[in-house]
Amino acid sequence: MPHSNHPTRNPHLAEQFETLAQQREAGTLGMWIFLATEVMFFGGLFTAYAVYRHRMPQGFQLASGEYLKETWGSINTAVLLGSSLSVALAVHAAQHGMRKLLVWLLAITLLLGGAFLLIKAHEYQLEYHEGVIPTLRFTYDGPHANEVFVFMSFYFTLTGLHALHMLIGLALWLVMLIRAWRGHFSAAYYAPIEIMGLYWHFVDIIWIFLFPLLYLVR
Amino acid sequence: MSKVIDYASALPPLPAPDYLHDGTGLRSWLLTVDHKRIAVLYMISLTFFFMVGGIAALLIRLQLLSPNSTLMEAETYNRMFTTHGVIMVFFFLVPSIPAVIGNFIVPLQVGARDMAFPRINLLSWYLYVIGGLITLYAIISGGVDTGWTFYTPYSSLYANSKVVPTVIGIFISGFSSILTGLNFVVTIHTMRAPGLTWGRLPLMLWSLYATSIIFILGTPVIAITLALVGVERVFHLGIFDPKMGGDPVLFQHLFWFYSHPAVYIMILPSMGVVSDIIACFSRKRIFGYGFVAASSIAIAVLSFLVWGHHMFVAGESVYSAMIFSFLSFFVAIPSAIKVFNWTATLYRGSISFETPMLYALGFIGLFTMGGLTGLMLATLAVDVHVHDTYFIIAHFHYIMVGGAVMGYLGAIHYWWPKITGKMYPDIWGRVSAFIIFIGFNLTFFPQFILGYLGMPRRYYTYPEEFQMLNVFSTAGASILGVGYLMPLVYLLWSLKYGKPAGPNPWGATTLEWKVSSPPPKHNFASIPLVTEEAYDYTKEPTNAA
Amino acid sequence: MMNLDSTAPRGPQLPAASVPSDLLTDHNSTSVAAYWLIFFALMLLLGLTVLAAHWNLGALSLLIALLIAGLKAALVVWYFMHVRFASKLTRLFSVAALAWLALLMGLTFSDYLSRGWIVGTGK
Repeated sequence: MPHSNHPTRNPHLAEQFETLAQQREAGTLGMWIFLATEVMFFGGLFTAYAVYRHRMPQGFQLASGEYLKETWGSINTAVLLGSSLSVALAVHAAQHGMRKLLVWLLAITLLLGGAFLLIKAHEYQLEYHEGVIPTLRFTYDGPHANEVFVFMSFYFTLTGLHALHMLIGLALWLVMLIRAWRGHFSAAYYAPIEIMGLYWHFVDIIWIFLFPLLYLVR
Repeated sequence: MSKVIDYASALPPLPAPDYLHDGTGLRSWLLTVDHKRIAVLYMISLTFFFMVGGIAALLIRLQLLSPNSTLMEAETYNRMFTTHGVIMVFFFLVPSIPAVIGNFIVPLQVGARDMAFPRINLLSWYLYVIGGLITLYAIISGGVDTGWTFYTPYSSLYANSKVVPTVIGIFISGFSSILTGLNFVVTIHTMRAPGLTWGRLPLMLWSLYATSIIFILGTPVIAITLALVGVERVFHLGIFDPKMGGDPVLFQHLFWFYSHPAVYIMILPSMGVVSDIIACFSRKRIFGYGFVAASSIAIAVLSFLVWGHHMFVAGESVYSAMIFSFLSFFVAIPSAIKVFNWTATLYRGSISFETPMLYALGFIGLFTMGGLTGLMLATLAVDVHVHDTYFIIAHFHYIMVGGAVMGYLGAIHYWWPKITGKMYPDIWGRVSAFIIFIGFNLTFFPQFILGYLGMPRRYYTYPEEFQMLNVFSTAGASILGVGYLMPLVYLLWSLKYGKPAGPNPWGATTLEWKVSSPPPKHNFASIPLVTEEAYDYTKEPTNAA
Repeated sequence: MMNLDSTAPRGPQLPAASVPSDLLTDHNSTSVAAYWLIFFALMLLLGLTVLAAHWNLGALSLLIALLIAGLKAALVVWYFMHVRFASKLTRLFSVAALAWLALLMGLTFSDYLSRGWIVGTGK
């Protein structure tokens, strides 16, 4: 009888794998490799930023000090770190088969992530009114105007790209939440939560670097 | 309820159909997750893009038949060489062996039923096709004239052509590469059959693994770089605009950080193919297996350290140029190690000259020439003289065409019986290989001379005294074109009329030759147990018809 | 040579159904208390980085900021992402990407930092 129709084969085990352990290892390794590509993806932007910070230190300092909201940025960092905690606890709950707790923690993660994005949107709105959005609304005409323009370009591309990654992450967490609610996960099978968690922690790490590099240029 | 007597279960089971026949109809192909079918899908789409890029090449050579040619104006010519470069690099060479041969062979050589992530595999093909279609749209609706290198600030500010859709197309197909590489690495790490240690892996897999390292770590950088160019064009961000304090050379750093390793993406898989073919058609294990395997990884790593050699005259600092020049000499060493080991394998081997072997031998010679001229270019002082001339073009075509494309054709001819279950008439294979070899050298050798004499690249015209060599080159290109069309004919012919191939028509030793040709959908009835090295040709080959 | 082999069993095995394989014996989990502890450490470091930005450190301020960020990232990677318990292979991969980024930045800066060292060759 065909391999995949074996009567005692675990329903969570995909056709191409021999054991759940192999499947889980493949999934984890795959996610780490994907994260490596993300490091290089953001890394290209970080490199460009670094080069320009080196070449235009005063303009960058001016823009960062004047227009980036240190308080909101700090709060957002705390929010994101909190969401990493809730994710770590969620994985822990899944590991121990605590379905209700898992669902709550995923809901908290969604809330925290949403709060981050709302705060970010608020900051963007403030920057719009201050007239420092490149091309779309840039009315700054003080010293180092070109450099401020370039800095803000990096600010929006970096935080925009990060926000996009967060949106995708939140959408996926929503799917996980629904699956958890329906009881798809158990102590015997929770790999998707763990693997998704890796992605989320990575998005947090990107922000951990973005915050001081953009908001705290002195 | 009366008892139903089940007679059917008393009969022996019907043989499972092979992967080509297991499910028919367009849906079963377009929604397949079988790595073998995905490989075939790639083969078809890749052939299409090769022809698009090839037509652009022929038009270029036609224009260059005469310095006074009225075939096209400068503007059109610029779009033509850009099309040729973009299509050939991103939509043919980069995917070629990995997506077509790798997708087919990796699970088989590893002893698994499929890749680690079959659905991601299918997604990678769709991303490739979507990226290709968007780029095709850009070409048809006017094209791009920046060169495949998209140098700023021309591409980001001044070009009046379809830069944005082109970079979007390349961006999307870049993810196709990334996913392919991801799949290969995870599959090779976690799905090797019992007994298949790293030291027993076919060198094809070592090469594909090394290639995947570059896919994973390099491609994202060009993705973000081209995205920046697109964003800059749309939003005028000024990141590469000198008037705003931007540095166009930064683009080149970011671009070449990927694009140099990318050329090793194009050559490493061919090297793996050559290893497998040489071993089989010399009836000998590869000499210095360990060195050849390690050299693949070394090439992948070192390839990331040399990108500045494309920028010697672009404005990077002289000290930086010296560092890159120094490192560029090193990257030649592992390639040379391979060439020496292949040669040592051939020595006292029992050599036969079937079509795959002809391509492999051609590869060794032509790649060596390309590689040696590469060393000449790594030399700062020489490069200052020949940069942006036809010398460069000849150098990289010796590697890309004389090397990578020959490797691809060799791979197609070697694994065709496995993929289709049919044999092609070998005589036609050999004739085509010969024609390709002649055509190739006639096309590109004169270009070394032209370049050294000073003929610049990317110009639609040239000084009168260069005409004769250009005519030779165009003549060669026509011959090359004929050579490329011939396999299309006899390979398609073989699908219907070719002799059925057995599981192992070449008498090779790697795992894929142990299953039927074509293989069954799930590859192996039971996962094999590996007890020998990859190229144990000391025993009698199991050549079941 | 470092063992890079996957630790998962491969090949012909008993059907996996009855074995709850996600409960791998090597996967000792971090306790809830430990996670909270790490979180508070991260918050402290956040506070530190904001404070440090207001001290007049000049050229050092970038270095300090990066060091603190690096420490935070390391805590997240080691504890939250379970690299603490991961195989050598996973650890290698998690480091490789960073190494490559360092390569990109390092060699690019070899250009920018040395421009103009030879008079007349540009800024």
